[in-house]
Amino acid sequence: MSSSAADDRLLAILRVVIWTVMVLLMIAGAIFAGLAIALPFMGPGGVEDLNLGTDPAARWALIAMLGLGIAVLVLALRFLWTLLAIIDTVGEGDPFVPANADRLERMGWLAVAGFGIAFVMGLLAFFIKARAPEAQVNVELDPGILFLILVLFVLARVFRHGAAMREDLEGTV
Amino acid sequence: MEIEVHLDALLASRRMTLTELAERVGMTLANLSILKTGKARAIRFSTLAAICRELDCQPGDLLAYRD
Repeated sequence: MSSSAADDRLLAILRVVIWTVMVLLMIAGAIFAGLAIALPFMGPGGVEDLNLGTDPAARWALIAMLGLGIAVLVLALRFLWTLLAIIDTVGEGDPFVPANADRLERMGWLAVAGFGIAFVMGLLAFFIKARAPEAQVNVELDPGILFLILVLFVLARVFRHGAAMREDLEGTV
Repeated sequence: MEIEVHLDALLASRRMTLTELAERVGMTLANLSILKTGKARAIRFSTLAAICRELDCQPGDLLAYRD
């Protein structure tokens, strides 16, 4: 298989994977939203199933967590949508454009925002666990996200230089 | 201030078409047209040398600076 055909195949696979993840994120978002809406109206039996104990603060903290979780999912969807746009430019054979530098920078900031919200969710999980030790709420902050954020901002600078160099070469015979 | 490209005049005097020149210097017709129409922003020395070789001319015959 030629390098170009292999690249096209890889891009096609990447698009399918990203779209699949986006659909799963939307489903997760719908589940979170449904649970957040149902929780205030749940009877004692339902709340017990979630091991939230009797403290209403734990219930409201969980609702807040679910709301923040939806925010993280929205950020993740935006992140993947932006990545798809970059992949499209690669497919067109023209990735070194200023728009891609902007996209990578935007992805970096989306990751920063997502990490920040996840941190707050972690605090809420800690709050819930203090009031309902049996509650099944866990938020794990992956330090690898910080590395991803750094890489994205560096790549944005690389692409900005690449776009400028390409602009210089434009019209050279 | 600009650089003028006298490719048209040279091609006419050598009785050569732009297509023929493009083939001889190993460039695409599209790129050579960019040079001919004055839309080029830069020219590589290798391109300049190949054109001068095929048109039997000097760079000064092909390019001129106008104030």
